[in-house]
Amino acid sequence: MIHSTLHKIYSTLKDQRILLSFHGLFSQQIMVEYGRILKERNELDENKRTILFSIFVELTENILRYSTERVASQSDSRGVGIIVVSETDETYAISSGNLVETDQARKLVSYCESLNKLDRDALKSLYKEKRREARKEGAKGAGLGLIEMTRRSDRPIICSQKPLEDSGSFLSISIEIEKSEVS
Amino acid sequence: MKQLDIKPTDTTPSVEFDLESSTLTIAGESFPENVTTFYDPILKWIKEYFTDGGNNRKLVLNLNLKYFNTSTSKYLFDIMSELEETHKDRHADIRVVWCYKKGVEIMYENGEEFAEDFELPFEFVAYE
Repeated sequence: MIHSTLHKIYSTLKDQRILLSFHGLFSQQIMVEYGRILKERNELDENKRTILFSIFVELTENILRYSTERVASQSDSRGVGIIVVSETDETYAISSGNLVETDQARKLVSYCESLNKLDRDALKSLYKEKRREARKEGAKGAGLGLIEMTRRSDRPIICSQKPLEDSGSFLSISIEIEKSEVS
Repeated sequence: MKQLDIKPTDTTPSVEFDLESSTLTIAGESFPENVTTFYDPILKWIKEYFTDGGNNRKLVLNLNLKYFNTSTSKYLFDIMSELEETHKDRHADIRVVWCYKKGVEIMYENGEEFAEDFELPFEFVAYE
């Protein structure tokens, strides 16, 4: 039973300055409610708050749409995963984790590496180019989320994957933003 | 012509058409669970507005969005493509008004990036 370790979990969350975390079956409603918590971070100016919220939405939508861990009885826009928002004195970090096919995980890791090599102008051009492309048949999203997050992130985005024995790979993505404008 | 009057929800904006000023206003936040279900009817409405209305139709697309996700961005692009085409083919009087809150640079930039991509008159309005 978790009872005996509850204080340890609480202390860990507190020590790591975790503002918000959710693990389990994500729904649109959960995204809305957790997003509301981020929108209330008053120490941020509205521009930064909008960026923080947008990264949270894009990462959560990835779990909703692409997590391979799903609950059969639920509508198809629900996936299982984890979202953690933490802070340091200078930054916020939003991390997402979920299961995906190993091939897909490898592709995403190298895609993120390639995005990290692009400068702001190149990312902007790539974003516009992808937005102009016709929607792929059956695609659940616009394929713009990772590009957008790389554009808004103040540090390279971190993407890694861990192959699991019997259920694909665990994909983790972390994005960091500065609390105040970097001049 | 069909009325267009969609009330906002937590994840979808309000969509209203004012016949007198020929203004289609989309306002609020946009990150729908199913972006196609939400935006396809709006795109269809715009097409019909011009096909049914003849060559004298004008339209002001008034966008006042506090936040939109990347899937919405793609649909806004499609809506503006449609308007650009109509603007060119029918010489229809069309313009886009992009409203953003002063200081929220990201929302201004989003508008600017649409303006760069289309040959449509764009007007930027900053509110306090």
